[in-house]
Amino acid sequence: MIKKLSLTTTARVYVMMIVLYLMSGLMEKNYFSTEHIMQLLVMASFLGILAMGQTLVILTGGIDLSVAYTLNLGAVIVTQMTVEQGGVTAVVTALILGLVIGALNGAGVVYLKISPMIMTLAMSSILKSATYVYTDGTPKGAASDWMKYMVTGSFMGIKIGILVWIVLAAAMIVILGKTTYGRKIFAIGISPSVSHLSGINNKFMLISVYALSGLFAVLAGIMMTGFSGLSYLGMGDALLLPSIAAVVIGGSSIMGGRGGYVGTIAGTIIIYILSSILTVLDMKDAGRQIIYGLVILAVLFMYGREKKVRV
Amino acid sequence: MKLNQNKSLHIFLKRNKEAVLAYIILFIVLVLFAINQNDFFTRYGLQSIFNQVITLTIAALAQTLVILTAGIDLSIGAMVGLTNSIAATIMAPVSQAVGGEGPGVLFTVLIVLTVGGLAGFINGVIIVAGRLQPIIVTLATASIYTGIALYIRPTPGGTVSMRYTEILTGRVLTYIPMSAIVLAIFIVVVWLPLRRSKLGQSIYAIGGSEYSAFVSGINVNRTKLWTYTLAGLFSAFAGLLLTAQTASGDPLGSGLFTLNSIAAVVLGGTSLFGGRGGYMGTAAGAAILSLVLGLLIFWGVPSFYQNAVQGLILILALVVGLLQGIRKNKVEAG
Repeated sequence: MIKKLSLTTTARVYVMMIVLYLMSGLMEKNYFSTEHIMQLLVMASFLGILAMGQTLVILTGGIDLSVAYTLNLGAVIVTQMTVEQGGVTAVVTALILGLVIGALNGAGVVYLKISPMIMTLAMSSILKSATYVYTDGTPKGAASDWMKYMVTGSFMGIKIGILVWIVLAAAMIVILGKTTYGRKIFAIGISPSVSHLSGINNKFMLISVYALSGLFAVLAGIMMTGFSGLSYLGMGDALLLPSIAAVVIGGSSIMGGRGGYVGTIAGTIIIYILSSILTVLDMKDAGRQIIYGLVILAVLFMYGREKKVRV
Repeated sequence: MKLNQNKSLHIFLKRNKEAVLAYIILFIVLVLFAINQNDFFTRYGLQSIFNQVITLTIAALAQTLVILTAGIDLSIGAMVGLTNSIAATIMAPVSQAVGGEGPGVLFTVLIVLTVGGLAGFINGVIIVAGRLQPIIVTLATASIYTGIALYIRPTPGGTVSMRYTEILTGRVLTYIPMSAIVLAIFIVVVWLPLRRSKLGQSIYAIGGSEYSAFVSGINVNRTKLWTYTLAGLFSAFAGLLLTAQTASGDPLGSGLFTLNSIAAVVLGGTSLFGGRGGYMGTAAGAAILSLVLGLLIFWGVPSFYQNAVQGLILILALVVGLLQGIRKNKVEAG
């Protein structure tokens, strides 16, 4: 039954994505070109990877507000360390740091019993300071050539950044759908107490989910530095709310336990298609913000409503 | 009579026991402040402190109402920014239209409060009628309200009446900061009657257990609608105060109010699960967050570290609160 429900929701999201894409193409002919699709998907891949972690966290019934600053810190560390110690060391260090930051979030949620929103909010503040202190206010360095190639290079006519996203997305979908680890995530989201009583190690699960969220955030940061060649403060700030919106538009319940990454992919792409439509309409930032909010509300009315309380 | 007083004091203490920790932290911060700042006890010191604290306190009171019902409002900052933008934009034209600064300011205040209440009401209607989660609805409406604010004020600016600024940020009797009086009036005239009213009781009851409240005949939907409407109204108050302090309107300058208001509420010991907490703790929480920044600036701590200190205080306060809870449970169990 649950499976059937999520299928219909996911199908709806994809129908919406296709309709929006056709609309954008009718407004602007060259949106149907392969080049534009590539460009759109490369841009979407950063948010798509960031939203992987957010999807996992939201499925457990939590929320991660620290992804943007984790992304920022990861990005500035990569560019600065690349110059000093070489690209490989930089990337490995940043990824480990992402895992540690996420694990700390998870530990706060599990051991200190701080609610996810507040814990990740406090972590955001700490990371913001850490990023400033580390960079002294101005990020230095640049991405190495292979990092740039990992995003903007082409393989059989497809940008490698998109391929990276496809591979990771496939892994995510398999893990969520076909492994016990994935099932446990849904179980915790549906009811932490029941999952605990059925022998699931909630503590380990939650810490690992937040750790993965930190890892994906840093990875998104590395991809962004590869794309633009450098890092700057506030690189990921504009992606925080979209990372949550992509998950919700994708049909996952903000309360956890329902949804999955398949929907999030469409949710991510929808956000970028919308953005391209608004560009055609020459919409200013004010209008963008309003339409953005209205779209999220419209989507919620389509499939985010709860059942009526009956006594 | 004496017995009665004791009883009400007892109730007051019982109701606000979560806030004790916040007041201990606030006391420490104030002592540090007093040691370090020579002009702390001068009229200017008090004035600037209260001006800093009051805006966040009122925004945080808006958040308190919503969190008491176990909801959350992520559009507080956007509503503050929207009302601030409107106030700074329409004050001069309205004053001209009605032919006088006094009535003009009064009209402006009424219009802005109406807009704030309306914004909150829209939040409430979508949440209640749509049966949707507050966190995501207010995330969406925050985006919409910020967009509207940007239409009204594409760039920060506007004209604010000098008298208006003086009245809300000045001093009376040379020592007492006006903002302290405004805050006191707000709590006595708005918050306390609200807390004692049927609506106030319903808000706490819903937060305690929505189902129980529903079964015991409380109109849950109407209560929620009122809660979000009041949160919008309070945000408009905060927006009006901000307008007086900055003497301009900034559509994007209030983004921090959302997160800081949540932090202040949590610092003050109000539970995110609803039903427990109140204004005493929130006021202390908002004061701590505002004053710590002043302290760091005074100690010459680089501004880089400010956010980290605020984050750490938040975590530490919650950990201490958790330890208190554990100790209490042990005592009860033992």
